[in-house]
Parts: sequence; structure tokens; C-alpha cells
Amino acid sequence: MKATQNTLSLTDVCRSYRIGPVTAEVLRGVNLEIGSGDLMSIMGPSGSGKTTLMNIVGLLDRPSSGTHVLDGHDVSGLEDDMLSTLRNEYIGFVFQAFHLLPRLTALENVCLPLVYRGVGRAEAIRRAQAILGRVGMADRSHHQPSQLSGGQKQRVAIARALVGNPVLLLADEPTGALDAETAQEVMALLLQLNAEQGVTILIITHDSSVARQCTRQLRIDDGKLLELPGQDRGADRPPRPLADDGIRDQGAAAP
Amino acid sequence: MSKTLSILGANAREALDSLRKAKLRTVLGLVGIMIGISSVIVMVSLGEIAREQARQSFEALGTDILLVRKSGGTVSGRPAEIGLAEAVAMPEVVLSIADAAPRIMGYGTFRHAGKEIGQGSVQGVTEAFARVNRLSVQEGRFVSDLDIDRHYCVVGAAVAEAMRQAGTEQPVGALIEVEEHLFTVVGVLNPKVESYALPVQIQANDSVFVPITVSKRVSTNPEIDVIIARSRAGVHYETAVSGVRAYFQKQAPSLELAIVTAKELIAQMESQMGIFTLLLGSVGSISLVVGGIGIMNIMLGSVAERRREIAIRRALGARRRDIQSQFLIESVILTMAGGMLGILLGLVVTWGICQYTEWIFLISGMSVGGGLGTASAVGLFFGLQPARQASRLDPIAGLQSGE
Ligand SMILES: Nc1ncnc2c1ncn2[C@@H]1O[C@H](COP(=O)(O)OP(=O)(O)O)[C@@H](O)[C@H]1O
Ligand SMILES: [Mg+2]
Repeated sequence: MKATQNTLSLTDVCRSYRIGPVTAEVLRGVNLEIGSGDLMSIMGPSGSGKTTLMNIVGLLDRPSSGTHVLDGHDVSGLEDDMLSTLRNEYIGFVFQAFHLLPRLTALENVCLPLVYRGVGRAEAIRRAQAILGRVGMADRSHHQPSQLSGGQKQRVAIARALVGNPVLLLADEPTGALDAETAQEVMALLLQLNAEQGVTILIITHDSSVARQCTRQLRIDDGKLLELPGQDRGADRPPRPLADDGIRDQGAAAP
Repeated sequence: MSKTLSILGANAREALDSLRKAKLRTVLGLVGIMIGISSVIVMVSLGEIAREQARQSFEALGTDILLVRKSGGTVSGRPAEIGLAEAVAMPEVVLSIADAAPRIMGYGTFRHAGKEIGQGSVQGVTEAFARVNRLSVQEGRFVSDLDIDRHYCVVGAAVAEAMRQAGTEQPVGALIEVEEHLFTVVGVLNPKVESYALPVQIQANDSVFVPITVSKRVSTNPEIDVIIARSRAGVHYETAVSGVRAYFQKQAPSLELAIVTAKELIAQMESQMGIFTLLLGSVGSISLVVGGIGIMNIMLGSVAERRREIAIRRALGARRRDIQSQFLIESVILTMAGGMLGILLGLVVTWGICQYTEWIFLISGMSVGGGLGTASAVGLFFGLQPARQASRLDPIAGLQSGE
């Protein structure tokens, strides 16, 4: 079912923040199509709106204007409870700072998305164990985050993001807090998950060496998103529309 | 539904875990609630114990009893006393009175078979006395209104026993000498246990009962010391009291009466308890409010400290209500634990008070249930605001806050 449509499409998405009398337009008409099995990177300077975009894609934030279709559902006008449920079922988050809950073990952290889905405890533990095995952390499942290295924490976080079989894995600078070697290990894991399990992944990164390993590379600049040519994996993929920002400039003026 | 339940279950485990790991804060919260709940427990328990105490004291006597005594000495120099005829006629005239038993009280040494067998009260009574005081005859009969000036008497169980000790197998029909007057025993009473809490002491076991008309003649103080009366079923005690007063006002205007009723005594006891209850109640509610505010403070601190955790949970799909229930459960668990400790403390204090006052100690289900109920209500009430606050935190801001 999920494979029949685009996993996600953003059309003309704007996001502005009002700070006192000033309105800061962070996203000015972003268009984005994500297909099932895509492995994409978004690069851009600090403060360019990468996290803002990820929050919108991940249903933590709402666009000021524009439409947002996730797996065939228009999610623009949904209420908070519904967004939480969709987030739980469709999105997996990986953060730069890992964001594991410090009081819980690795296993309990990985169980959390299933807990909020209402999966029973025994079943949740079974699935969490399995996914921890897939990221190579089976023998650390009863460790607390403080007993894990950075790379290990990020593996647990990836397991937590994947345990609910999300449609889309969102990783906001997943290697940003890791040394080069560990960063490459984590990156290799993400590449492997994409290649072997077909997990759709969107990686936000500062690091061009990370970006280069992705099949689709996008840049965010001045509130607009553009896709870099080349790197296409071949003829199995239709060409994607780029962000046609030249025409849609007026979108930024909307509140 | 099953989703909600399993999330609630997980939230409860979470809450316990988080409380265990924040020890000092947890202990502080517990103490406030504990004091509050224990006051509530002491209050409710003592109230019930007092009521039970009163109930047991008056059980033998009945709550429809009235004691009519002369209160003042004389009015305008004229001696006034309760007249026998008026006392006996009272139930016929006063509608609210069912039965009345006047008594003339004396004290004497009992001699039998040439030996002194004991001392005790010599009570001049009418036939009604046995009815009103629920005395029952083991052998023979009680004093009759037809005995008039016959020197007949009825002996209490202990007196009869003393006569047997002196060699008389069958006290009924035997003679007993009371302060130089000779009486024929016509009846022996069953033994009777009396509570010392009662406002009138009969001490039937150690007494000799004689016709009141005989007492009138032979007693050194032939004055009616009390009329023990019973009101009719369903009559309010105040009605009975004013009926008696009105009656004697007409019969003997100069007579001043002191009338005590069982219900009045119970009411007095309860009003004393009421003051006590009010005191404990205010201590209890003040400390519950203070404890509750403490809990609120603790929970607000907990929410502020765990903004990142809340944001992460929200990102993973927790709905607002899931976050709210997590924090509500935490505050309710906290106050329930405080409540249970408070119940223990409250019962210990109540037990101590009962030891001191020699009251019966009982644990009432109501106080325990009420204590737990109050504790969880405090947890819900004071936990709601922090829990709502937690559920409304912006997840984006929470995710940005550093580790
Ligand atoms: N809640 C907010 N209120 C006001 N401005 C914000 C808020 N969040 C982000 N911004 C601004 O939006 C811009 C983009 O931020 P962000 O998406 O975090 O950038 P990036 O992740 O690319 O570094 C920044 O200039 C930031 O100051
Ligand atoms: Mg960012």
C-alpha cells in the first residue's frame, strides 16, 4: 500500500516565525517529493532552516502555508492527537544529540514507540530485541545510555526510530556528535538499512562526505530547497521535479 | 481501550521508576501528605470510636432513658422534694413518658443467720424499677406494688451468694437483717454487669431492694434521690424533658429539677467530639493543602527538569493525554504512598490516644478508605496543573534544549 504513492510531498511550504514586530521567513516555498526507498541528504549552512524543515516533515511543526501530504493523507489541518499518532506510525527520528531517555535501558528506549502505539509489553520487548540485533546492539540491550559510547547510543537511537516500521526515517545531523570513524560506521549502518531493507531515509547534515553517500542530494539555501543533479541511481527512477523557486517566489509572502 | 490501558500501564511503571530515582524530592512530598492523611485518619477514627463507645455504654441502658433528680436545695425556705405519688403517677399524666421508677437510696450492713454477710445499698423501689433498669429475677419475684408495708426484699446475685456462703441453700424465703430491720427474701436477681460510664449506678448485684413505701418509713434519709424513667418510642428527648418539667411545675412549683437524658449525654459527647474533630480536621486539611502544594511544586519541578524527556516522548508519538497521564499517575502514586504511610501513622496515634483514654480501639474501613480516597484526590487535584503543563510543552523547544 505504502509503495503505490510518493511517501511524502511538500508543495509550496513556507514557515515563518514572528519575533515581536519582525517576521522571519525561514522556509519560502519548499517543494519536496520523497519516494519509497529514497536515501536523501539535505545540506545547508547553520540557521538555514534544515531542522525547521525536518520538524515539518516529521509532523512536529506545521507549515505557515503550503500543503503536506504523507502517504496519501493531507496532514495540513490535522489536530495534535492525530499528528502524534501519525508521527508514531510513519516517522522515525534520529537526532544529533541521540536523545535517549537517560533513566531507561537501551531496550526500554527502543520499546517506547511501541508503547505509545499500545503494543503489549512482551511483544514490544520481543520486537525491540530483534531490532537491536539488527543494529548490532543485542548485547547492550540492558545498558543505560550513560554506559554506552556515542556510536552505540546512535545505534540504539536508530533502532528506536526503526522499531515501529516507519515510512520515513528522519536523521538530523546523526553523525554530528561523533568522531570521523564512528560517524562512518553509523553512516554505513544507515546505508545498509536503506539498501537491504529499503528504509526511506532523509539525512540532514553539515558534512559533505555524508551527503555524497546519498542517492539524492539537496541543498537548502535562502529558504528554498534545490536538488543537485547527478548521483542518480539510474533508469529505475523517474527524474524528480526540482524546487521551481523562480516561479513560486510569491509563496514566501504568505503568512 | 486496550491501547489506552497498555499506555497507562507503561506510564505507571515509568512513574514508579522516576519516583524511585528522585529520592529526596519524593520523601519531602511524602511527609506533607503523610501528616495530612494521618490527621484525617485520627479524626475519622476517633469520631467513630467515640460513637461506638457511647453506643456500647448506653446499649444496656437504652437511649430512651431519663434521670430526674432534685437539683437545688430549697426555694424560699420551704423544703421541696420529689413526691412519691407524683413520681409514680408520672407515666399516666405525662404523655411522652412510658415508665417511671423512683428510688430511695440507703446504705447498710446485711446480717444473715447471725453473721454479718456484707454491706451494700438498700434501695427502696417500685415494681417499675425492674422493668426500667432491665433487672431480671432468677428465683422468686421482684418487689411488688402490692407489698406496701410488708418487709419483703429482693437480693442481688452477690448478696444471695453471701447468704449461701453463710449456710442458706435457698435464699428465697430466708430472712435477712438490714440495719436492724428484718426482711423476708422474696426474690433473687440474676447477676448484672454494669458499665461505669453510665450516669446512674444501680449496682444491683450488691444491693437489697425493698418496697419504696417501706423505705419511706424506715430509711434515715427517706427522700427520692432519682426517678429513672423511659420515654415513649419516637419521642424526642427534649419533648420528654419539658413534659416532665411541666408536670412537676404544676405538682410542686418550688421544686428544681435536674434532668439528664441518654440522648443528651450522647449529644454532649458528640459535640465534644465535634470540637475535637473540627480541630483535627483543620490541622488535617491545612497539612493536606500544604502537602498538596508541595506535591504540585515537586511535580512542576519534575516537569521543568524533564522537558527534554517530554519532547522526546512526544516525537516518538506520545499524545498530550499520554504525557498528562504519566505525570498525573506519578503525583497520584506519590500521594497514595504518602497516604498509606499517613494511615499507618494515623492508626498508631489513634491507638495511643485510645490507650491513654482507655477507650476501645477499632480500625474503621471508612477511615482507611477515606484516607486513601483523600490522598488520591489530593494527587489528582494538585497534580493536574503540572501534568497539563507537561502535556502542553512545545516538543520542538524541548528537543533543542541541550543535554
Ligand atoms: N521557535 C523559533 N522562533 C524563532 N525563530 C526560530 C525558531 N526556530 C528556529 N528559528 C530560526 O529559524 C532559522 C532556522 O533554524 P533551524 O531550522 O534550526 O536551522 P538549521 O537546523 O538549518 O541550523 C534560524 O535562523 C532560527 O533562528
Ligand atoms: Mg539544525
